[in-house]
Amino acid sequence: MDLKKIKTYLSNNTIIPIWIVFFVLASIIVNGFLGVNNLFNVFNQNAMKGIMAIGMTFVIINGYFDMSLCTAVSLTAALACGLESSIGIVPAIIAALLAGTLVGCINGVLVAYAKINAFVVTLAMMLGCRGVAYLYHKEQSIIPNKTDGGWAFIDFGAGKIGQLSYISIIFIILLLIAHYILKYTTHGRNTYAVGGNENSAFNAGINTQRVTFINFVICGFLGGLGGVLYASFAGASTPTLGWPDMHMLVIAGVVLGGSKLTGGVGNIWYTLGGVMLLGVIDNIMNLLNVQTYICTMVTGMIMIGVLYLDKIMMNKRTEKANLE
Amino acid sequence: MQSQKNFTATLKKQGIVLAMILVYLVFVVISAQFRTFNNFILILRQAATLAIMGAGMTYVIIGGSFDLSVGSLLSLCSVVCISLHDSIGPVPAMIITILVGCASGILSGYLVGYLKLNSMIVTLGMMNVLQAAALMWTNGKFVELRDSNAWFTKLGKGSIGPIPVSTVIMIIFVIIMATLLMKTVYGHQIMAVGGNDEACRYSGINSKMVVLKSFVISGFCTAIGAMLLCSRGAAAQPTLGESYEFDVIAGVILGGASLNGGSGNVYKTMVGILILTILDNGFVIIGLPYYLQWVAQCVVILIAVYIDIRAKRKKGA
Repeated sequence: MDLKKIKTYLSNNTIIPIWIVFFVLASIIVNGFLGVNNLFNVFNQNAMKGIMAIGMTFVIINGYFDMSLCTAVSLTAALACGLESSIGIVPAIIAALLAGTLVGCINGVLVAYAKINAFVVTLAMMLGCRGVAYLYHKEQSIIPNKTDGGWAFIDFGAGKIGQLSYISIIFIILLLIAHYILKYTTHGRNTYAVGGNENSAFNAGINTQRVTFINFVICGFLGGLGGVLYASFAGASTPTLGWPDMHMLVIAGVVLGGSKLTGGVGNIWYTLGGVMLLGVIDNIMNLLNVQTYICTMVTGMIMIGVLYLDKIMMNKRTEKANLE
Repeated sequence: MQSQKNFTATLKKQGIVLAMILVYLVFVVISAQFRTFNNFILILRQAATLAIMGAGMTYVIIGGSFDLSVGSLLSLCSVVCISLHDSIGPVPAMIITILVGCASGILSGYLVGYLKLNSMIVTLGMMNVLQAAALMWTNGKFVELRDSNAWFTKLGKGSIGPIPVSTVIMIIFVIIMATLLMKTVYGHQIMAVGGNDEACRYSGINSKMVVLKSFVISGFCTAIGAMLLCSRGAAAQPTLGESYEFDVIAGVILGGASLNGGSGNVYKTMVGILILTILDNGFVIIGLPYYLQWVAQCVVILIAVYIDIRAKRKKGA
């Protein structure tokens, strides 16, 4: 009886068995993988991507996706680094976060209220943000001024408590908040409802436009936060930060975790699993001294493979449900 | 009265063509260099690769999928074509390039059509795989032809009278692809599959095969585009096609294809791509920073799509 329960649980959460397989194989084959240092390292490295993926999870559960993330990142990173010398570090960070939120607002208005296809809107915004980011960078990297504020900003990106970096701690806190919002608030439940079936959600009296709008704003804000943290981690911002496939890696992480691009399905822990899975794959190949080109290839193949596995397990589940 | 109504109706239908003329005229007024005949020819030459790739992408998008792998495939085909040109001769190299394009199309088409995987993530994975293949093929190096005046380079550089060969190829290609879409059984099938997959299966269309074929067409078009692009420079670089996929998709969107599948037009895609190329060319010629063109593209795409949606909504009401 219990075994059966575990089995259904695992086939409902495909990311867990996939994780177990990867983890066990890597621990056996790869030297130096199973160490506290290495595992924390992977977590710290991927925390920024994870923060962006949290925002993306909201949008994907809502049934859309946001392609503008990749260049919004370089825009907000630039603002955080560049405004620091003139207005101080805290206002600069606030300005950067506001810029991210503004991008999210524009996406939200155009998708939710003007009803333009989300792919088109966010693709256009991707080009727009890219242009503005280059304009602000003047095609050069921006390094924060070596003042107190600038140092504090860079120190924050490198700082750690024990093995966890500050950025990872922010990530964990955001995960918990996002879990709370999705699971226990009206907005979270509305998001699932709109993603599952927008028409019936509308007929049930949910303000679907507002829900979609808010989710895009959340995504824009967290994208901006990700950009600021990237700048703080790297100690600089470049116009090509995030281009061309940051949003794709983030979307891939969310989808590999088990959230569906069609909307209505997903939770925040899937996202954690998916993003960290991509991180672990990268880490394993680095430890094995695999050539970068082959790394890229293997990552691509694993993306397709995991998607296929997920599909097979899904099919089995629906078959069983049909039989019952 | 009647003719006036007809006139406004055609105007609305051909809005994208008007937009292209408008964008062109704006640059013509601003810049003297832009209005030369040579520059007009240059725009057509620059648009050739994108327009041919756009023709293939139109099929994929009509079928209700995306193909994000075309940029990397363009890189791979270019390096394959250039590096084989000297060792086995131009014609076999071209044939192998086309085979590479089709093989990649078959693979992603199988994954999307038969295994029903999400096309965005699958082609994203394929993008990584193909990019890596291109880098591995050349070891990350730049490849070039030994003789930069071989007849193969005439494809991209040569002209027939004043008109570039690549433009002629582009026009012939677009006409063939458009006819294939509008006049053949396959064209109707892909429209039907994109419109309603379920209904197609009940009416006996092999929708899996139809989707697979659309990816093969996209791969084939990309291979042709790659040959034109690399023959123009007589050289290729393994990251040549980076981010081309977004330009191609933006062109298809400007052309008014529905991203949910079921409608689209190869001619309009070409017009969409010409708009992007004119913006690209114009911004460089009037001396504005090249990155401003992305902002302009953003605005043009949003306005065009918004107008299109409003027109459609009115028709519905």
